[in-house]
Amino acid sequence: MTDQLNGRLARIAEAQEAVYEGTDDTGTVVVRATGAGRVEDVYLSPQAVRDLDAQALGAACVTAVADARMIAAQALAATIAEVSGQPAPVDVPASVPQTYDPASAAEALRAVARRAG
Amino acid sequence: MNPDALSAIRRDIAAAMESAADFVERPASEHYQAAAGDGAVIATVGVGGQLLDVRITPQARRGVDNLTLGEHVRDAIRAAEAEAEQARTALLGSLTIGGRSVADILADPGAGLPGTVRPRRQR
Repeated sequence: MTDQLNGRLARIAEAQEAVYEGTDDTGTVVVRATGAGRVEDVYLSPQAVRDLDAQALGAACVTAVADARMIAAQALAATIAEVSGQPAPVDVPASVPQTYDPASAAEALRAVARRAG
Repeated sequence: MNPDALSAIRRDIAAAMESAADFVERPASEHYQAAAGDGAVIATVGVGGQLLDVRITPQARRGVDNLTLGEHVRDAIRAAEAEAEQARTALLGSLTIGGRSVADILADPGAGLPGTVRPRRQR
């Protein structure tokens, strides 16, 4: 039982340490990020530096980082689903959902505080 | 665990939740920035750690080779994310429950509440 659990945890740890690649819309900026989201490498192709102005080049970097992290998150979710026997989600939500509402989150925390205090 | 200690922990948890509520209500405009390559690249990260912006100076785009510029981008992103992480860690470190920082408890939950025993599941 413990061996089985350790094996599953090891698989998840491997997926977190594995490196995934993402690109910008033009494919000329490539970012490699770990499953945990750490940016390992940013490659700006000569074409990207030549064809994009400074502002567009920066935006391309942001897009490529988001793409790499999304791919990493999908791979991690698939691994977790595999080892847990649960179906993988169809879509991995973005790291900061557009529906995130700080006021609601704060109210929920204050409700917990009132119950605890 | 005696009732007084339990009450103290409840008060600590309530205070921690209030602080966390204040933390999440910080303005969305709050962000963390870091530069690399002597200011050639500036990365901006949001409160939640999300990468918001990468600014590359026109001079760096023209004067720095593509591989080095990529390294500057990576370094700026990592540094800005480290700033954001440091802020989160500082918040957790400042919160205590039962005399232990929340950061320590999260790192080792079992040690956070000495004297408690996880109940065995009944068959």
